Amino acid sequence: MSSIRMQSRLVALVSYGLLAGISFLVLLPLIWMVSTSLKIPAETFTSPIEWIPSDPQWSNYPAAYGRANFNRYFLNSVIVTVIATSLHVAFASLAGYGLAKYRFVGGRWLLVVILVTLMLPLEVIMIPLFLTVKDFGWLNSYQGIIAPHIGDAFGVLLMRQYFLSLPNSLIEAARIDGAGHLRTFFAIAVPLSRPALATLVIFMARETWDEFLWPFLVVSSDDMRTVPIGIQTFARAELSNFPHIMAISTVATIPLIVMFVVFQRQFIKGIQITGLRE
Amino acid sequence: MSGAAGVDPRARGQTIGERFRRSWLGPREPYWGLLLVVPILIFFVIFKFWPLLQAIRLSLYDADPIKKVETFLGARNFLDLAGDPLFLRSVVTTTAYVVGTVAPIMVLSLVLALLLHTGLRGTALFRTLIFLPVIVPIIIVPILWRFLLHPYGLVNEGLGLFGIAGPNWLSDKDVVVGALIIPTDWRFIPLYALIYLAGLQSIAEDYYDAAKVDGASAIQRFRWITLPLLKPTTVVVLIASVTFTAKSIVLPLVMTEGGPNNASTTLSLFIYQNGFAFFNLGYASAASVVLLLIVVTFTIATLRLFRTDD
Repeated sequence: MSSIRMQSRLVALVSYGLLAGISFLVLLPLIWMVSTSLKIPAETFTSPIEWIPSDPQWSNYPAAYGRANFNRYFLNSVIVTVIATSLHVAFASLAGYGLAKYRFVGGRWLLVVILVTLMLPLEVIMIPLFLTVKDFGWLNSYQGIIAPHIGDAFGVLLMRQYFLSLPNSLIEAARIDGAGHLRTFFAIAVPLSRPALATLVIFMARETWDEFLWPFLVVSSDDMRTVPIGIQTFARAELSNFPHIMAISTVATIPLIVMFVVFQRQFIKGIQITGLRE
Repeated sequence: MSGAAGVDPRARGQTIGERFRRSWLGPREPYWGLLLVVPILIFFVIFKFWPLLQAIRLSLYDADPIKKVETFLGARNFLDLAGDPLFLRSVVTTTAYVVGTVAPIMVLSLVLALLLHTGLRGTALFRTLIFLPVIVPIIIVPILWRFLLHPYGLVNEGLGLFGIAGPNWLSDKDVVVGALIIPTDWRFIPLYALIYLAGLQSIAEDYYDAAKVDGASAIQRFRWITLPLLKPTTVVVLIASVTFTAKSIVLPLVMTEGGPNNASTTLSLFIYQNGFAFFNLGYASAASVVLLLIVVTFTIATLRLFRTDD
Protein backbone atom coordinates (compact mmCIF):
# COMPACT_ATOMS: atom_id res chain seq x y z
CA MET A 1 0.00 0.00 0.00
CA SER A 2 2.63 2.48 1.02
CA SER A 3 4.80 1.67 -1.99
CA ILE A 4 1.90 2.53 -4.28
CA ARG A 5 1.49 5.81 -2.45
CA MET A 6 5.21 6.48 -2.78
CA GLN A 7 5.00 5.70 -6.45
CA SER A 8 2.10 8.06 -7.08
CA ARG A 9 3.89 10.78 -5.10
CA LEU A 10 6.91 10.31 -7.31
CA VAL A 11 4.77 10.48 -10.46
CA ALA A 12 3.18 13.70 -9.21
CA LEU A 13 6.55 15.19 -8.42
CA VAL A 14 7.96 14.34 -11.84
CA SER A 15 4.81 15.69 -13.54
CA TYR A 16 5.03 18.95 -11.64
CA GLY A 17 8.71 19.22 -12.47
CA LEU A 18 8.11 18.64 -16.17
CA LEU A 19 5.15 21.04 -16.30
CA ALA A 20 7.10 23.76 -14.52
CA GLY A 21 10.07 23.22 -16.82
CA ILE A 22 7.97 23.30 -19.97
CA SER A 23 6.03 26.38 -18.84
CA PHE A 24 9.29 28.14 -18.11
CA LEU A 25 10.79 27.28 -21.51
CA VAL A 26 7.62 28.25 -23.35
CA LEU A 27 7.37 31.56 -21.54
CA LEU A 28 11.04 32.56 -21.90
CA PRO A 29 10.54 34.19 -25.33
CA LEU A 30 7.73 36.33 -23.92
CA ILE A 31 9.75 37.26 -20.87
CA TRP A 32 12.59 38.23 -23.22
CA MET A 33 10.15 40.37 -25.20
CA VAL A 34 9.04 42.34 -22.13
CA SER A 35 12.55 42.56 -20.74
CA THR A 36 13.98 43.86 -24.01
CA SER A 37 11.18 46.40 -24.33
CA LEU A 38 12.65 48.13 -21.27
CA LYS A 39 16.25 48.32 -22.47
CA ILE A 40 18.29 50.69 -24.58
CA PRO A 41 19.19 49.32 -28.06
CA ALA A 42 22.84 48.67 -27.16
CA GLU A 43 21.80 46.32 -24.33
CA THR A 44 19.66 44.04 -26.48
CA PHE A 45 22.14 41.24 -27.07
CA THR A 46 24.29 41.02 -23.97
CA SER A 47 25.76 37.74 -22.82
CA PRO A 48 24.71 36.57 -20.33
CA ILE A 49 21.25 37.98 -20.87
CA GLU A 50 20.28 40.69 -18.43
CA TRP A 51 16.73 39.61 -17.64
CA ILE A 52 15.91 42.53 -15.39
CA PRO A 53 17.18 45.75 -16.95
CA SER A 54 19.25 47.75 -14.46
CA ASP A 55 17.69 50.97 -15.64
CA PRO A 56 14.22 50.14 -17.07
CA GLN A 57 13.34 52.47 -19.93
CA TRP A 58 9.60 52.86 -19.39
CA SER A 59 9.72 55.76 -21.80
CA ASN A 60 10.22 53.23 -24.62
CA TYR A 61 6.48 52.58 -24.53
CA PRO A 62 5.12 56.08 -25.18
CA ALA A 63 8.06 56.78 -27.51
CA ALA A 64 7.41 53.69 -29.66
CA TYR A 65 3.66 54.18 -29.59
CA GLY A 66 4.06 57.76 -30.75
CA ARG A 67 6.30 56.90 -33.70
CA ALA A 68 3.45 55.54 -35.79
CA ASN A 69 -0.27 56.05 -36.03
CA PHE A 70 -1.14 53.31 -33.54
CA ASN A 71 -4.33 54.96 -32.28
CA ARG A 72 -5.63 54.78 -35.80
CA TYR A 73 -4.50 51.14 -36.24
CA PHE A 74 -6.29 50.13 -33.04
CA LEU A 75 -9.41 51.99 -34.15
CA ASN A 76 -9.29 50.24 -37.55
CA SER A 77 -8.83 46.85 -35.90
CA VAL A 78 -11.80 47.49 -33.59
CA ILE A 79 -14.02 48.56 -36.49
CA VAL A 80 -13.03 45.59 -38.64
CA THR A 81 -13.34 43.09 -35.81
CA VAL A 82 -16.71 44.33 -34.56
CA ILE A 83 -18.35 44.48 -37.98
CA ALA A 84 -16.87 41.25 -39.35
CA THR A 85 -17.70 39.31 -36.19
CA SER A 86 -21.26 40.65 -35.93
CA LEU A 87 -22.08 39.92 -39.55
CA HIS A 88 -20.48 36.49 -39.47
CA VAL A 89 -22.24 35.48 -36.26
CA ALA A 90 -25.60 36.75 -37.51
CA PHE A 91 -25.41 35.08 -40.93
CA ALA A 92 -23.79 31.91 -39.62
CA SER A 93 -26.47 31.34 -37.00
CA LEU A 94 -29.25 31.96 -39.52
CA ALA A 95 -27.65 29.47 -41.89
CA GLY A 96 -26.89 26.97 -39.13
CA TYR A 97 -30.54 27.14 -38.04
CA GLY A 98 -31.77 26.72 -41.60
CA LEU A 99 -29.57 23.68 -42.13
CA ALA A 100 -30.40 22.11 -38.78
CA LYS A 101 -34.14 22.63 -38.53
CA TYR A 102 -35.46 22.59 -42.09
CA ARG A 103 -35.40 19.90 -44.68
CA PHE A 104 -35.17 21.22 -48.20
CA VAL A 105 -33.97 20.05 -51.55
CA GLY A 106 -30.20 20.48 -51.73
CA GLY A 107 -29.81 21.12 -48.01
CA ARG A 108 -27.44 18.18 -47.57
CA TRP A 109 -25.52 19.27 -50.62
CA LEU A 110 -25.21 22.85 -49.36
CA LEU A 111 -23.83 21.60 -46.09
CA VAL A 112 -21.16 19.56 -47.87
CA VAL A 113 -20.24 22.51 -50.09
CA ILE A 114 -19.80 24.73 -47.04
CA LEU A 115 -17.85 22.02 -45.22
CA VAL A 116 -15.46 21.63 -48.13
CA THR A 117 -14.35 25.27 -47.88
CA LEU A 118 -12.57 24.33 -44.65
CA MET A 119 -9.99 22.74 -46.94
CA LEU A 120 -9.60 25.90 -49.01
CA PRO A 121 -6.80 28.05 -47.59
CA LEU A 122 -6.66 31.79 -48.26
CA GLU A 123 -3.17 31.23 -49.67
CA VAL A 124 -4.70 29.25 -52.56
CA ILE A 125 -7.22 31.89 -53.60
CA MET A 126 -5.40 35.05 -52.51
CA ILE A 127 -4.62 36.20 -56.06
CA PRO A 128 -8.11 35.94 -57.59
CA LEU A 129 -9.66 37.12 -54.31
CA PHE A 130 -7.45 40.18 -54.44
CA LEU A 131 -8.49 40.78 -58.07
CA THR A 132 -12.18 40.43 -57.14
CA VAL A 133 -11.93 42.91 -54.28
CA LYS A 134 -9.92 45.23 -56.51
CA ASP A 135 -12.64 45.05 -59.20
CA PHE A 136 -15.14 46.16 -56.56
CA GLY A 137 -12.90 49.17 -55.92
CA TRP A 138 -12.52 47.96 -52.33
CA LEU A 139 -8.74 48.09 -51.87
CA ASN A 140 -7.83 50.19 -48.83
CA SER A 141 -11.37 50.09 -47.48
CA TYR A 142 -13.10 48.56 -44.46
CA GLN A 143 -15.47 46.57 -46.65
CA GLY A 144 -12.48 45.19 -48.54
CA ILE A 145 -10.87 43.94 -45.34
CA ILE A 146 -14.14 42.71 -43.83
CA ALA A 147 -16.15 41.04 -46.59
CA PRO A 148 -13.96 37.95 -47.19
CA HIS A 149 -14.10 37.13 -43.45
CA ILE A 150 -17.85 36.74 -43.34
CA GLY A 151 -18.23 33.57 -45.38
CA ASP A 152 -16.51 31.24 -42.94
CA ALA A 153 -17.62 27.65 -42.58
CA PHE A 154 -16.67 27.34 -38.93
CA GLY A 155 -19.56 29.39 -37.57
CA VAL A 156 -22.12 27.70 -39.78
CA LEU A 157 -21.03 24.24 -38.68
CA LEU A 158 -20.80 25.18 -35.01
CA MET A 159 -24.26 26.74 -34.96
CA ARG A 160 -25.82 23.93 -36.97
CA GLN A 161 -24.41 21.41 -34.54
CA TYR A 162 -25.81 23.35 -31.63
CA PHE A 163 -29.24 23.87 -33.15
CA LEU A 164 -29.49 20.16 -33.91
CA SER A 165 -29.39 19.57 -30.18
CA LEU A 166 -32.31 21.93 -29.51
CA PRO A 167 -35.55 19.97 -29.06
CA ASN A 168 -37.79 20.33 -32.09
CA SER A 169 -40.80 20.39 -29.77
CA LEU A 170 -39.83 23.85 -28.51
CA ILE A 171 -39.68 25.24 -32.00
CA GLU A 172 -42.84 23.50 -33.07
CA ALA A 173 -44.65 24.86 -30.02
CA ALA A 174 -43.70 28.38 -30.99
CA ARG A 175 -44.80 27.77 -34.55
CA ILE A 176 -48.14 26.36 -33.44
CA ASP A 177 -48.62 29.44 -31.28
CA GLY A 178 -48.40 31.42 -34.50
CA ALA A 179 -44.85 32.77 -34.37
CA GLY A 180 -43.28 33.27 -37.81
CA HIS A 181 -40.09 31.59 -38.92
CA LEU A 182 -37.84 34.51 -38.01
CA ARG A 183 -39.70 35.27 -34.81
CA THR A 184 -39.23 31.66 -33.72
CA PHE A 185 -35.56 31.91 -34.53
CA PHE A 186 -34.99 35.10 -32.56
CA ALA A 187 -37.31 34.40 -29.64
CA ILE A 188 -36.62 30.69 -29.11
CA ALA A 189 -33.48 29.49 -30.87
CA VAL A 190 -31.17 32.45 -30.25
CA PRO A 191 -31.70 32.79 -26.49
CA LEU A 192 -31.21 29.05 -26.06
CA SER A 193 -27.95 29.03 -27.96
CA ARG A 194 -26.08 31.63 -25.91
CA PRO A 195 -23.15 29.36 -25.00
CA ALA A 196 -22.50 28.49 -28.65
CA LEU A 197 -22.89 32.13 -29.68
CA ALA A 198 -20.42 33.23 -27.00
CA THR A 199 -17.88 30.68 -28.20
CA LEU A 200 -18.35 31.79 -31.79
CA VAL A 201 -18.09 35.51 -30.99
CA ILE A 202 -14.86 35.09 -29.02
CA PHE A 203 -13.37 32.79 -31.62
CA MET A 204 -14.19 34.95 -34.62
CA ALA A 205 -13.23 38.20 -32.90
CA ARG A 206 -9.82 36.81 -32.05
CA GLU A 207 -9.34 35.39 -35.52
CA THR A 208 -10.29 38.67 -37.26
CA TRP A 209 -8.23 40.77 -34.88
CA ASP A 210 -5.23 38.54 -35.50
CA GLU A 211 -5.54 38.21 -39.28
CA PHE A 212 -2.39 39.29 -41.05
CA LEU A 213 -2.22 38.03 -44.63
CA TRP A 214 -5.48 39.43 -45.99
CA PRO A 215 -5.21 43.03 -44.71
CA PHE A 216 -1.53 42.89 -45.69
CA LEU A 217 -2.64 42.27 -49.28
CA VAL A 218 -5.48 44.79 -49.57
CA VAL A 219 -4.19 47.66 -47.44
CA SER A 220 -1.44 49.96 -48.64
CA SER A 221 -2.42 53.31 -47.17
CA ASP A 222 -1.33 54.13 -43.64
CA ASP A 223 -4.74 55.20 -42.37
CA MET A 224 -6.36 51.86 -43.23
CA ARG A 225 -3.79 49.67 -41.47
CA THR A 226 -4.97 47.30 -38.78
CA VAL A 227 -2.79 46.58 -35.74
CA PRO A 228 -0.94 43.58 -37.23
CA ILE A 229 -0.10 45.51 -40.40
CA GLY A 230 0.89 48.57 -38.38
CA ILE A 231 3.25 46.45 -36.29
CA GLN A 232 4.81 44.78 -39.31
CA THR A 233 5.43 48.14 -41.02
CA PHE A 234 6.77 49.57 -37.78
CA ALA A 235 9.16 46.64 -37.33
CA ARG A 236 10.47 47.16 -40.86
CA ALA A 237 10.91 50.90 -40.41
CA GLU A 238 12.55 50.69 -36.98
CA LEU A 239 14.77 47.79 -38.01
CA SER A 240 17.50 48.36 -35.43
CA ASN A 241 15.51 49.79 -32.54
CA PHE A 242 14.81 46.42 -30.94
CA PRO A 243 13.44 47.77 -27.64
CA HIS A 244 10.85 49.89 -29.46
CA ILE A 245 9.74 46.94 -31.57
CA MET A 246 9.43 44.78 -28.48
CA ALA A 247 7.52 47.52 -26.66
CA ILE A 248 4.95 47.69 -29.44
CA SER A 249 4.77 43.89 -29.58
CA THR A 250 4.06 43.83 -25.86
CA VAL A 251 1.37 46.49 -26.21
CA ALA A 252 -0.31 44.44 -28.95
CA THR A 253 -0.11 41.22 -26.94
CA ILE A 254 -1.55 42.45 -23.64
CA PRO A 255 -5.18 42.99 -24.80
CA LEU A 256 -5.24 39.43 -26.16
CA ILE A 257 -3.87 37.96 -22.95
CA VAL A 258 -6.45 39.89 -20.93
CA MET A 259 -9.19 38.69 -23.25
CA PHE A 260 -7.91 35.13 -22.94
CA VAL A 261 -7.84 35.19 -19.17
CA VAL A 262 -11.37 36.61 -19.00
CA PHE A 263 -12.92 34.34 -21.65
CA GLN A 264 -10.69 31.34 -21.20
CA ARG A 265 -13.48 28.78 -21.40
CA GLN A 266 -14.95 30.04 -24.69
CA PHE A 267 -11.49 30.49 -26.10
CA ILE A 268 -10.36 26.96 -25.41
CA LYS A 269 -13.69 25.54 -26.48
CA GLY A 270 -13.52 27.33 -29.82
CA ILE A 271 -10.06 25.97 -30.41
CA GLN A 272 -10.93 22.45 -29.36
CA ILE A 273 -14.03 22.39 -31.55
CA THR A 274 -12.37 23.64 -34.69
CA GLY A 275 -9.42 21.32 -34.48
CA LEU A 276 -7.92 24.37 -35.87
CA ARG A 277 -6.55 26.59 -38.47
CA GLU A 278 -4.86 29.91 -37.98
CA MET B 1 -41.70 7.87 -27.54
CA SER B 2 -42.25 11.58 -27.34
CA GLY B 3 -39.59 14.25 -27.69
CA ALA B 4 -37.18 14.26 -30.57
CA ALA B 5 -34.83 16.11 -28.22
CA GLY B 6 -31.26 16.11 -29.35
CA VAL B 7 -31.85 13.83 -32.26
CA ASP B 8 -30.82 14.66 -35.77
CA PRO B 9 -34.17 14.78 -37.55
CA ARG B 10 -32.60 12.97 -40.44
CA ALA B 11 -31.61 10.13 -38.19
CA ARG B 12 -33.39 6.92 -38.87
CA GLY B 13 -35.80 5.35 -36.46
CA GLN B 14 -38.24 8.21 -36.09
CA THR B 15 -41.72 7.22 -35.09
CA ILE B 16 -44.56 8.16 -37.38
CA GLY B 17 -45.68 10.72 -34.83
CA GLU B 18 -42.30 12.45 -34.88
CA ARG B 19 -42.22 12.36 -38.62
CA PHE B 20 -45.62 13.97 -38.72
CA ARG B 21 -44.64 16.70 -36.31
CA ARG B 22 -41.46 17.41 -38.22
CA SER B 23 -43.53 18.20 -41.25
CA TRP B 24 -44.44 21.44 -39.53
CA LEU B 25 -41.01 22.75 -40.31
CA GLY B 26 -40.14 20.52 -43.18
CA PRO B 27 -42.06 20.00 -46.37
CA ARG B 28 -44.65 22.68 -45.77
CA GLU B 29 -42.39 25.70 -46.17
CA PRO B 30 -39.04 24.13 -46.95
CA TYR B 31 -37.84 27.16 -48.92
CA TRP B 32 -37.45 28.96 -45.59
CA GLY B 33 -34.48 26.74 -44.81
CA LEU B 34 -32.79 27.81 -48.02
CA LEU B 35 -33.75 31.43 -47.42
CA LEU B 36 -31.91 31.41 -44.10
CA VAL B 37 -28.75 30.09 -45.73
CA VAL B 38 -28.76 32.60 -48.59
CA PRO B 39 -27.15 35.60 -46.82
CA ILE B 40 -23.96 33.78 -45.90
CA LEU B 41 -24.06 31.78 -49.12
CA ILE B 42 -23.67 35.01 -51.09
CA PHE B 43 -20.40 35.66 -49.28
CA PHE B 44 -19.22 32.11 -49.90
CA VAL B 45 -19.97 32.43 -53.58
CA ILE B 46 -18.31 35.81 -54.11
CA PHE B 47 -15.31 35.42 -51.82
CA LYS B 48 -14.60 31.69 -51.92
CA PHE B 49 -16.09 29.79 -54.86
CA TRP B 50 -15.69 32.48 -57.50
CA PRO B 51 -12.01 33.08 -56.61
CA LEU B 52 -11.45 29.33 -56.60
CA LEU B 53 -12.85 29.02 -60.11
CA GLN B 54 -10.77 32.00 -61.16
CA ALA B 55 -7.63 30.41 -59.73
CA ILE B 56 -8.28 27.26 -61.73
CA ARG B 57 -9.05 29.27 -64.88
CA LEU B 58 -6.03 31.56 -64.50
CA SER B 59 -3.75 28.56 -64.05
CA LEU B 60 -4.41 27.77 -67.73
CA TYR B 61 -3.58 31.28 -68.91
CA ASP B 62 -0.74 33.71 -69.19
CA ALA B 63 -2.32 36.69 -67.45
CA ASP B 64 -0.73 40.10 -67.30
CA PRO B 65 -2.63 42.44 -64.96
CA ILE B 66 -0.95 45.56 -66.27
CA LYS B 67 -1.48 45.05 -69.98
CA LYS B 68 -4.74 43.26 -69.19
CA VAL B 69 -3.96 40.55 -71.71
CA GLU B 70 -4.76 36.89 -71.20
CA THR B 71 -3.42 34.19 -73.47
CA PHE B 72 -4.63 30.62 -73.21
CA LEU B 73 -1.77 28.24 -72.55
CA GLY B 74 -3.43 24.96 -71.65
CA ALA B 75 -1.19 22.96 -69.35
CA ARG B 76 1.92 24.99 -70.15
CA ASN B 77 2.12 26.65 -66.71
CA PHE B 78 2.08 23.25 -65.03
CA LEU B 79 4.77 21.90 -67.35
CA ASP B 80 6.87 24.99 -66.67
CA LEU B 81 6.43 24.48 -62.92
CA ALA B 82 7.65 20.90 -63.25
CA GLY B 83 10.86 22.19 -64.81
CA ASP B 84 11.33 25.24 -62.58
CA PRO B 85 14.13 24.65 -60.04
CA LEU B 86 12.77 27.42 -57.79
CA PHE B 87 9.35 25.79 -57.68
CA LEU B 88 10.76 22.32 -57.07
CA ARG B 89 12.94 23.73 -54.36
CA SER B 90 9.96 25.40 -52.72
CA VAL B 91 8.17 22.05 -52.67
CA VAL B 92 11.19 20.40 -51.03
CA THR B 93 11.46 23.26 -48.51
CA THR B 94 7.77 23.03 -47.71
CA THR B 95 8.04 19.27 -47.23
CA ALA B 96 11.02 19.67 -44.88
CA TYR B 97 9.16 22.40 -42.99
CA VAL B 98 6.03 20.26 -42.65
CA VAL B 99 7.82 17.09 -41.55
CA GLY B 100 10.14 18.96 -39.19
CA THR B 101 7.22 20.80 -37.62
CA VAL B 102 4.63 18.05 -37.43
CA ALA B 103 6.82 15.23 -36.04
CA PRO B 104 7.51 17.08 -32.76
CA ILE B 105 3.87 18.19 -32.62
CA MET B 106 2.56 14.62 -32.80
CA VAL B 107 4.78 13.48 -29.93
CA LEU B 108 5.20 16.47 -27.66
CA SER B 109 1.65 17.80 -27.74
CA LEU B 110 0.41 14.37 -26.62
CA VAL B 111 3.03 14.23 -23.85
CA LEU B 112 2.03 17.73 -22.74
CA ALA B 113 -1.65 16.79 -22.79
CA LEU B 114 -0.95 13.69 -20.68
CA LEU B 115 0.87 15.85 -18.13
CA LEU B 116 -2.01 18.32 -18.03
CA HIS B 117 -4.48 15.44 -17.70
CA THR B 118 -3.00 13.99 -14.50
CA GLY B 119 -5.61 15.85 -12.49
CA LEU B 120 -2.95 17.20 -10.13
CA ARG B 121 -3.81 20.42 -8.35
CA GLY B 122 -2.54 23.49 -10.12
CA THR B 123 -2.57 22.06 -13.64
CA ALA B 124 -5.11 24.72 -14.63
CA LEU B 125 -2.49 27.38 -13.97
CA PHE B 126 0.09 25.52 -16.03
CA ARG B 127 -2.45 25.09 -18.81
CA THR B 128 -3.02 28.85 -18.90
CA LEU B 129 0.71 29.63 -18.90
CA ILE B 130 1.62 27.07 -21.53
CA PHE B 131 -1.17 28.32 -23.75
CA LEU B 132 0.15 31.91 -23.89
CA PRO B 133 2.17 31.44 -27.13
CA VAL B 134 -1.11 30.66 -28.88
CA ILE B 135 -2.60 33.95 -27.68
CA VAL B 136 0.27 36.12 -28.90
CA PRO B 137 -0.76 37.88 -32.14
CA ILE B 138 0.48 35.87 -35.10
CA ILE B 139 2.44 38.84 -36.46
CA ILE B 140 4.48 39.02 -33.24
CA VAL B 141 5.80 35.48 -33.83
CA PRO B 142 8.12 36.28 -36.79
CA ILE B 143 9.10 39.67 -35.36
CA LEU B 144 10.00 38.28 -31.94
CA TRP B 145 11.74 35.16 -33.24
CA ARG B 146 13.88 37.12 -35.64
CA PHE B 147 15.55 38.47 -32.50
CA LEU B 148 15.53 35.20 -30.60
CA LEU B 149 17.23 33.46 -33.54
CA HIS B 150 19.81 36.22 -33.90
CA PRO B 151 23.40 34.82 -33.76
CA TYR B 152 23.65 36.25 -30.22
CA GLY B 153 19.98 35.77 -29.40
CA LEU B 154 18.19 33.74 -26.77
CA VAL B 155 18.24 30.45 -28.69
CA ASN B 156 21.98 30.41 -29.22
CA GLU B 157 22.52 31.69 -25.68
CA GLY B 158 20.55 28.67 -24.48
CA LEU B 159 22.48 26.27 -26.73
CA GLY B 160 25.67 27.83 -25.38
CA LEU B 161 24.75 26.61 -21.89
CA PHE B 162 25.18 23.08 -23.26
CA GLY B 163 28.41 23.97 -24.99
CA ILE B 164 26.80 24.02 -28.43
CA ALA B 165 27.78 26.80 -30.79
CA GLY B 166 24.47 27.79 -32.35
CA PRO B 167 24.35 28.50 -36.07
CA ASN B 168 23.40 31.75 -37.71
CA TRP B 169 19.81 30.59 -38.07
CA LEU B 170 18.51 33.20 -40.47
CA SER B 171 21.38 33.49 -42.91
CA ASP B 172 22.61 29.90 -43.17
CA LYS B 173 20.75 28.15 -45.96
CA ASP B 174 21.24 24.75 -44.33
CA VAL B 175 19.47 25.61 -41.07
CA VAL B 176 16.99 28.30 -42.09
CA VAL B 177 14.13 25.79 -42.31
CA GLY B 178 14.88 25.06 -38.64
CA ALA B 179 14.33 28.76 -38.04
CA LEU B 180 10.82 28.32 -39.45
CA ILE B 181 10.18 25.10 -37.51
CA ILE B 182 11.14 26.28 -34.01
CA PRO B 183 8.69 29.22 -33.77
CA THR B 184 5.93 27.19 -35.42
CA ASP B 185 6.31 24.42 -32.86
CA TRP B 186 6.53 26.95 -30.04
CA ARG B 187 3.12 28.25 -31.02
CA PHE B 188 1.43 25.03 -32.07
CA ILE B 189 2.54 22.34 -29.63
CA PRO B 190 0.53 24.05 -26.84
CA LEU B 191 -2.43 24.45 -29.16
CA TYR B 192 -2.56 20.81 -30.22
CA ALA B 193 -1.89 19.76 -26.62
CA LEU B 194 -5.24 21.37 -25.79
CA ILE B 195 -6.93 19.41 -28.54
CA TYR B 196 -5.38 16.18 -27.25
CA LEU B 197 -6.48 17.19 -23.77
CA ALA B 198 -10.08 17.40 -24.96
CA GLY B 199 -9.63 13.94 -26.48
CA LEU B 200 -8.23 12.53 -23.23
CA GLN B 201 -11.06 14.05 -21.23
CA SER B 202 -13.60 12.32 -23.43
CA ILE B 203 -12.30 8.83 -22.58
CA ALA B 204 -14.49 7.25 -19.92
CA GLU B 205 -12.74 6.36 -16.62
CA ASP B 206 -14.44 2.95 -16.67
CA TYR B 207 -11.99 1.63 -19.24
CA TYR B 208 -9.06 2.41 -16.98
CA ASP B 209 -10.78 1.03 -13.90
CA ALA B 210 -11.52 -2.21 -15.68
CA ALA B 211 -7.95 -2.47 -16.94
CA LYS B 212 -6.57 -1.81 -13.45
CA VAL B 213 -8.71 -4.63 -12.05
CA ASP B 214 -7.21 -6.88 -14.70
CA GLY B 215 -3.75 -5.82 -13.57
CA ALA B 216 -2.71 -3.78 -16.60
CA SER B 217 0.31 -1.57 -16.04
CA ALA B 218 0.29 2.16 -16.76
CA ILE B 219 2.16 1.58 -20.00
CA GLN B 220 -0.22 -1.18 -21.08
CA ARG B 221 -3.20 1.06 -20.28
CA PHE B 222 -1.70 3.82 -22.40
CA ARG B 223 -0.89 1.46 -25.27
CA TRP B 224 -4.17 -0.46 -25.34
CA ILE B 225 -6.73 2.09 -24.11
CA THR B 226 -5.53 5.66 -24.48
CA LEU B 227 -3.84 5.44 -27.86
CA PRO B 228 -6.61 3.55 -29.70
CA LEU B 229 -9.32 5.77 -28.24
CA LEU B 230 -7.37 8.88 -29.18
CA LYS B 231 -7.28 7.87 -32.83
CA PRO B 232 -9.95 10.37 -33.97
CA THR B 233 -8.08 13.17 -32.16
CA THR B 234 -4.79 12.05 -33.68
CA VAL B 235 -6.30 12.21 -37.16
CA VAL B 236 -7.60 15.74 -36.52
CA VAL B 237 -4.25 16.93 -35.17
CA LEU B 238 -2.35 15.33 -38.03
CA ILE B 239 -4.56 16.82 -40.75
CA ALA B 240 -4.76 20.24 -39.12
CA SER B 241 -1.04 20.56 -38.43
CA VAL B 242 0.08 19.26 -41.82
CA THR B 243 -2.32 21.39 -43.85
CA PHE B 244 -1.68 24.45 -41.72
CA THR B 245 2.09 24.17 -42.02
CA ALA B 246 1.95 23.32 -45.73
CA LYS B 247 0.04 26.50 -46.55
CA SER B 248 1.41 28.89 -43.92
CA ILE B 249 3.06 32.03 -45.16
CA VAL B 250 3.51 34.51 -42.31
CA LEU B 251 6.87 33.25 -41.00
CA PRO B 252 8.67 33.01 -44.35
CA LEU B 253 7.03 36.22 -45.56
CA VAL B 254 7.89 38.38 -42.56
CA MET B 255 10.82 36.68 -40.80
CA THR B 256 13.08 35.29 -43.53
CA GLU B 257 11.51 36.79 -46.67
CA GLY B 258 12.38 33.52 -48.35
CA GLY B 259 16.08 33.99 -47.82
CA PRO B 260 18.91 33.36 -47.80
CA ASN B 261 18.98 32.70 -51.52
CA ASN B 262 15.42 31.27 -51.58
CA ALA B 263 16.33 28.59 -49.02
CA SER B 264 13.18 29.37 -47.01
CA THR B 265 10.82 30.08 -49.90
CA THR B 266 7.86 27.85 -49.15
CA LEU B 267 5.20 26.98 -51.69
CA SER B 268 2.84 29.70 -50.47
CA LEU B 269 5.61 32.30 -50.54
CA PHE B 270 6.44 31.18 -54.10
CA ILE B 271 2.79 31.84 -55.00
CA TYR B 272 2.86 35.22 -53.30
CA GLN B 273 6.08 36.30 -55.01
CA ASN B 274 4.95 35.24 -58.46
CA GLY B 275 1.54 36.82 -58.04
CA PHE B 276 2.18 40.01 -56.12
CA ALA B 277 5.80 40.80 -56.94
CA PHE B 278 6.33 39.48 -60.50
CA PHE B 279 2.66 39.73 -61.64
CA ASN B 280 2.79 36.25 -63.19
CA LEU B 281 -0.83 35.65 -62.27
CA GLY B 282 -1.28 32.54 -64.38
CA TYR B 283 1.94 30.92 -63.23
CA ALA B 284 1.20 31.77 -59.58
CA SER B 285 -2.32 30.38 -59.95
CA ALA B 286 -0.95 27.14 -61.33
CA ALA B 287 1.20 26.86 -58.20
CA SER B 288 -1.91 27.59 -56.06
CA VAL B 289 -3.73 24.74 -57.75
CA VAL B 290 -0.81 22.46 -56.90
CA LEU B 291 -0.96 23.63 -53.27
CA LEU B 292 -4.69 22.98 -53.16
CA LEU B 293 -4.24 19.51 -54.63
CA ILE B 294 -1.61 18.71 -52.01
CA VAL B 295 -3.85 19.88 -49.15
CA VAL B 296 -6.95 18.08 -50.43
CA THR B 297 -5.13 14.87 -51.33
CA PHE B 298 -3.44 14.71 -47.96
CA THR B 299 -6.69 15.34 -46.09
CA ILE B 300 -8.68 12.75 -48.01
CA ALA B 301 -5.89 10.18 -47.95
CA THR B 302 -5.47 10.54 -44.18
CA LEU B 303 -9.20 10.28 -43.57
CA ARG B 304 -9.33 7.14 -45.74
CA LEU B 305 -6.27 5.59 -44.14
CA PHE B 306 -7.51 6.07 -40.59
CA ARG B 307 -11.15 5.46 -41.29
CA THR B 308 -12.86 3.98 -38.28
CA ASP B 309 -16.11 2.13 -38.41
CA ASP B 310 -17.67 4.08 -35.57
